[in-house]
Amino acid sequence: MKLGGYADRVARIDLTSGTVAYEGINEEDARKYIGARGLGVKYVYDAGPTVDPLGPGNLLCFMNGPLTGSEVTMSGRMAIVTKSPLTGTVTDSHHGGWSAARLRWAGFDGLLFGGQSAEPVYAYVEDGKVELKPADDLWGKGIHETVKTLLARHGPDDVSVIAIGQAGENLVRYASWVNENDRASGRGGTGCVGGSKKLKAVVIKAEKKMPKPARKDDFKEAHKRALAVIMDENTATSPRKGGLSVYGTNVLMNITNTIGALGTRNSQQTSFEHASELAGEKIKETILVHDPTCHACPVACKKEVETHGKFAVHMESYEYEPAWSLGANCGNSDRDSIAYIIDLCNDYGMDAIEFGQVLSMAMEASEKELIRDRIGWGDPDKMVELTHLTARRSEIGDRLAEGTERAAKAFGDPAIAMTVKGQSIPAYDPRGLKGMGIAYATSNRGACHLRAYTPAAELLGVPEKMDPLAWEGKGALTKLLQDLHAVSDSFDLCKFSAFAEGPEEYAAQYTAVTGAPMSTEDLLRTGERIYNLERHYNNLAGFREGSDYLPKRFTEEPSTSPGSKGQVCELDLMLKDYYQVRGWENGVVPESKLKELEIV
Amino acid sequence: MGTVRLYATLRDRAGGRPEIEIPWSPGEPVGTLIRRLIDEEPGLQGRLLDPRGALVPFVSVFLDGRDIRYLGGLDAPLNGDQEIAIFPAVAGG
Repeated sequence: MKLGGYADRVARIDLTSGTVAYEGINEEDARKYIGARGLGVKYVYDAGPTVDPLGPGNLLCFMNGPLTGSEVTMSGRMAIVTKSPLTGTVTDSHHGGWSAARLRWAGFDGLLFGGQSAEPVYAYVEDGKVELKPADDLWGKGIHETVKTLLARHGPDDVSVIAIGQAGENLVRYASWVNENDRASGRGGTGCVGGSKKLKAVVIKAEKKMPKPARKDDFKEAHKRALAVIMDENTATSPRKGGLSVYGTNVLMNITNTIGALGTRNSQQTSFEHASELAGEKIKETILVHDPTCHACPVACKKEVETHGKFAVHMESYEYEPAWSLGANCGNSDRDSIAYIIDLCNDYGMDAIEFGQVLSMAMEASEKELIRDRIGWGDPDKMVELTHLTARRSEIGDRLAEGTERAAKAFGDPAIAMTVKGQSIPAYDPRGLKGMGIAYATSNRGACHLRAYTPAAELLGVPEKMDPLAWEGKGALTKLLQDLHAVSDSFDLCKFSAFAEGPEEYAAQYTAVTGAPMSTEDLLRTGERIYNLERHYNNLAGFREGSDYLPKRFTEEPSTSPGSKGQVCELDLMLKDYYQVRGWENGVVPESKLKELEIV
Repeated sequence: MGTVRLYATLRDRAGGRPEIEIPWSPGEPVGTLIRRLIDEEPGLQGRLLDPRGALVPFVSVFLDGRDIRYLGGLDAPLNGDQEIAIFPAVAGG
């Protein structure tokens, strides 16, 4: 392959036979879908959109991109791509740390796991080779113990361990892969797919070996320019000065609460009376002990905390999403218990967003006496108990392990599930941030804030300031951000780079690393192609007209909080605009669009 | 007299104070209150208003949860019992 930046090597691991084959990257695919998310989706698409997510035909891809492991700022992300057992859509979920860089330094662009092993195994990756090793002694262990054991066996230096915990082994539908103890590929149940394949861990050993850019001088200039905008002290990313760097993602808690966009008690309210007690500012004052970072990132947004007493734990990271899902959304104001439950989720390997949502749904079901179990709002002891039961699929936990949508249906009231395409919504109430409504509804992996992060425009003003309560223009904004984020996820750069960088900075760095000229128009068209491939996959998997929706709570029950009082989310109006700019027919990609984008 | 709430890094610029009492009269524009706030906490100089007196792009000022950019900007009139909150650039995910 002529393109720079790639290792030009992927491993296909057949877990049924235990064999490993190696191949290069198809250059046309690399040009069309880049790497990480885009190329991973192409591999999953080629495996067939109708496979059983928990069967041997599903492909589980660990992918990096052409910028991974290089000097490019914020280039430490890994994408795990597969067909989701939670949603039935294609899904990709990313984590930070050093595993993605090490996979590149070990000589790989991706690891593609197919088939199903009869016995537990883990994959050991070093120096361009993959070896399957028995994992009987690790099966049944939590992620923290698995990481400790494998680091002792293969490290500790220059080693990353990505593992599943008991939740993945027990096929909890929203089980995650967790890298280096705490960096989760949280969403979509990729860990459940790992469990179905009896793949316990991926261990990568590699010394730092930065790939050389194809155009050295251009790279220096592009890198300098991108770094300058990230370091600008007026931006959220500015190291030790910007809101994201100083307080982490949980700097958002107070602002979403102020504007009436903080879903509370299963989104029955839109602000939480104790939000300031859980917010990043309070965490910094009380329990913060360290600010860890990822490969090539000066922002250091991770927030390591230490609590004492009943919920004593030392963990990273106290993020906005779980602080909301296990806090405001469950009516829970106990700061320490949230850290404790996040760590339990990291150890069991369970998506803390989906789990917080399944809990809040169960709390509403209990309040409405739909279930016999008494699960009160804001009862941290009960929440801890349910965490154990769910990961082990015991008692009511067996229902909760199925995810919010399936559990609500089993409880007899599907309307109390705050989900889209089977995945729970994250921490932005679309009555106070309208763009999130269309972004959730049209996300290809089920409700998600990271496919199109519209609060960048609605709160921060990037790429332009837009009124959070206006629906006008949000369809086009969502398309733009979906396409842009599809590209950054395929490089694979941290999503937070988009708070400072734009298409120009991205295109310049890609061009310098690969040597293949890319304009901003090329970049957005590539993102559009990736987004349409995902949508086409979903269409073939059975998601047709009517699959882009929101729970009625957001479209019919007005907000009662200051900032968004009286508002509902005008989804139908935004959806009409969105389909028009996408060129889709009621959520379905027409043949003409597939040809225009050279997908078929 | 009313309470202005400061968040995130703006607190550090204001000597760690999360809330500051500032006098205002009903009907006064919010811009006047912000200038009084800067007089009270000079560390906020250049963080809220640019040299021409306009609101700095990434800063958000909310009156009862609504960004003043959609209420008439710095000319938006204050009333007696509004919640006033000011944020610097914040983002996450």
